[in-house]
Amino acid sequence: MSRGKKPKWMIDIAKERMNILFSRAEKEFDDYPERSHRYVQIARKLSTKYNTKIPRNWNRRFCKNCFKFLSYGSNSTVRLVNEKVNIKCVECGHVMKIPYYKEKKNRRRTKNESIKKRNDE
Amino acid sequence: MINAKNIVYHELIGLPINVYKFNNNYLNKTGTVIDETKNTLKVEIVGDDGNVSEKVFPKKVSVFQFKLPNEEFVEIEGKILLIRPEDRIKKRYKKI
Amino acid sequence: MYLDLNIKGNNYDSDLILAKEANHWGWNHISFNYKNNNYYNASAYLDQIKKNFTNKDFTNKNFTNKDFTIDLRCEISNNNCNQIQKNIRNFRPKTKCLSVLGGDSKVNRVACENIKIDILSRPYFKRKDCGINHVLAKEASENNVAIELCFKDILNSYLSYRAKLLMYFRDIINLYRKFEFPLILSSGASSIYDIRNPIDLTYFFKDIGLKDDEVLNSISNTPLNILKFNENRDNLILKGVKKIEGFNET
Repeated sequence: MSRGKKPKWMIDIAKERMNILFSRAEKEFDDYPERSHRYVQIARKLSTKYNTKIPRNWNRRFCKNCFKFLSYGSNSTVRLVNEKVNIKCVECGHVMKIPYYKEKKNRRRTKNESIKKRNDE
Repeated sequence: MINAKNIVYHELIGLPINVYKFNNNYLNKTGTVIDETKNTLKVEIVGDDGNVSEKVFPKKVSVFQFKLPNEEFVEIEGKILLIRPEDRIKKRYKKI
Repeated sequence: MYLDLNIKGNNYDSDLILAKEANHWGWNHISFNYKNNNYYNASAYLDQIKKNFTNKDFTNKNFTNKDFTIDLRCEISNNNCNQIQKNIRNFRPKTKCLSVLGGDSKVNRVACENIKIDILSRPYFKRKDCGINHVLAKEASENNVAIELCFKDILNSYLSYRAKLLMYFRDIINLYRKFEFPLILSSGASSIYDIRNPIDLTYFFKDIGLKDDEVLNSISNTPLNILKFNENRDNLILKGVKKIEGFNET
């Protein structure tokens, strides 16, 4: 075995476990928010131990500063400012900024091309 | 998916559970698993009146029964599971 | 309940005669001992032998022998350790009772360290010492491997060789008292003149040095536990994990 690598079946089980934990955290946030924070902690431990990334759909559901579960509307706010998506965690005040330049550029490009086609015809 | 062969490596949080034996006495308490540490399992039990309570069971002296999502039932002794939940994937278990 | 797990089996006729004789003397359960070459042939005519004992013409009037059951046992005898492991893998899911013939020091070691074996029979076979030391006894008690003492070796021996065999028996019994591995006593019969009364066998082993409870345990309780445990072997997955049918609710 090469140095530091785990076999493939272990990494697959780790990914399934992370999916299960995050979906349980979403269900239980309304009544018991502390359990959701604890499930995020277990999932982060799994990702560092087996050297994999957290799945993409759950990537932005927790605050990167205080590591708590974010449920949009109850303990976080989502705004669009200056071509960036701002996700603000209410509990610690940290703001995650995610840019979307490329999506806007692609949209503008397809719009211009469709206008050109119509003018040519 | 969670099989009967897979369950010692897999996630126990969220499965329905029945605590079968505790220190050689027969309890039969059903509930769902909430949390897991190195020595204990936390279980949420709904009583007959509708009261919801959380109880903590040590792993060393008890026997658990789980129900899997593909409708099988498995009985596990607690002595095997005396590990931290993130370390359970890479442990080698004894064959029989 | 008196169980005898070691009666040599050959073909249909001799098996019938031996089974009738054992029923006459009062045994409750019998297992025929086959080598791994002949095992598949024997399972073909086992049902026909069982049909003879449904009506009760063959019981002696002194013994009320109401239940009499017959089963098969597979024995592996080889000198090569790798071949033994292969045979264990082939035959384990097909029998209720699996045993290894001892004698070689390497074979004894391999048998005691393996968790899939039930019985190690005759560890003193063709040896000048008893075959087991304290290291092997400790591993046998961990892996739940039973050790068998056979009565036939004493029957067919004379003079100084018989005295040495009794000495080896006493060594094994001393180790049994200290390390608590399971112990089995059996007759190892191959003809009708070798089968004895179960009560006579218990008196013989009491003469050697075993006590009352120990003899009763090794003739009735430990063979029963072996057969019961192997009925559930399909449902066992790992050590401590088994499949069940539903939640037990009281």
